[in-house]
Amino acid sequence: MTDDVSPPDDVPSDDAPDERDRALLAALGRALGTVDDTDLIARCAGLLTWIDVDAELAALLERPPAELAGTRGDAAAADLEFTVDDGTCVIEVTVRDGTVRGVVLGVTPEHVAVRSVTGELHDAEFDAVGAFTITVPVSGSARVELDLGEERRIHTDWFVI
Amino acid sequence: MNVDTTDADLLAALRTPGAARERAWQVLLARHTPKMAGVARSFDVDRATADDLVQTAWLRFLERHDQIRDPGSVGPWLCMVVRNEARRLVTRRRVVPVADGWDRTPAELPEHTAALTADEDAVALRSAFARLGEACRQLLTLMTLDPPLSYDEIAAALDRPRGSLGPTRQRCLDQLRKLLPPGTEVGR
Repeated sequence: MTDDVSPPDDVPSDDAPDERDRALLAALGRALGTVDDTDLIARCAGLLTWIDVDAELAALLERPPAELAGTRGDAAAADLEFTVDDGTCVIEVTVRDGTVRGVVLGVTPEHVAVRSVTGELHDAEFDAVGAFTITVPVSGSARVELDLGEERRIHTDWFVI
Repeated sequence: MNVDTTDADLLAALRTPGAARERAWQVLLARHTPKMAGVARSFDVDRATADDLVQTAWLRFLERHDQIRDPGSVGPWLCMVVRNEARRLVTRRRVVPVADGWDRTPAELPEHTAALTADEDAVALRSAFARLGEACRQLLTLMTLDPPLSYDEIAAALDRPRGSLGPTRQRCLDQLRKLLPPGTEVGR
């Protein structure tokens, strides 16, 4: 932390803190301290390789790329709601204490699983209406993966367990 | 490719195979991770949770970077993803682990009114800061990060208009001053 807090480059000139406020912000910054994020950067560095290997594996198996179901705001009855671009599949997910519960709407999956960023795949039990439950033993980033058969696969955006 | 390379150039390099892709990734990580971590921690989550939020945001970035229309908005985009996921996490967890080292209750303040030492100033500042409202704590946290966030990044992290940041900052600093004990030299 420097002794001075300069306003960000994009701050409007009439909105910049005066000298007194800058001194207080700088002192507050020092009082709150800084965190060394070196370990976090190192942890994230491997994500590029992980994503590349995931894609290469799919290509090797001659599988079409999985469709990405993106986050679509907050669902009324769930923590997260994911939707594929063409709207044919919606996945609602609720996470509580390491247990992922959800329901798949619009399609009938042959297989439902939760993949953690460490690569582990945890199979979920699901019923005839697409409701699934799985307890994931690890915290961190994860996503739900669906195998619909007929060469169609879907996975959600990553979320935090 | 170095620290001065623009995000637009890094995004372009990330979309090409080879060593340049790996190098671009390293520069992006070094440039944006501390800011993202600061945004995550501004939600008063513990360090492990903040790290998970940052990692999740980077994963989303790797799967979606070809959809980012304005290459200059990578920073705000990443801050927005961290914010969205942090909000969901905070909402769904009844008890959120609180950040380590934050003074959540007012500290015992010195009785004397003579000038405080620098250490005492820091304690007084932390104590006053802890008594601010959540919105002020979050804004001031984001405004004191090192490296600093741009206004666009702060606006994205808070989901607030850029134009509201300056006036809100002013109100928060005024409140902070009122909570400081007599004798605190800084920012008077």
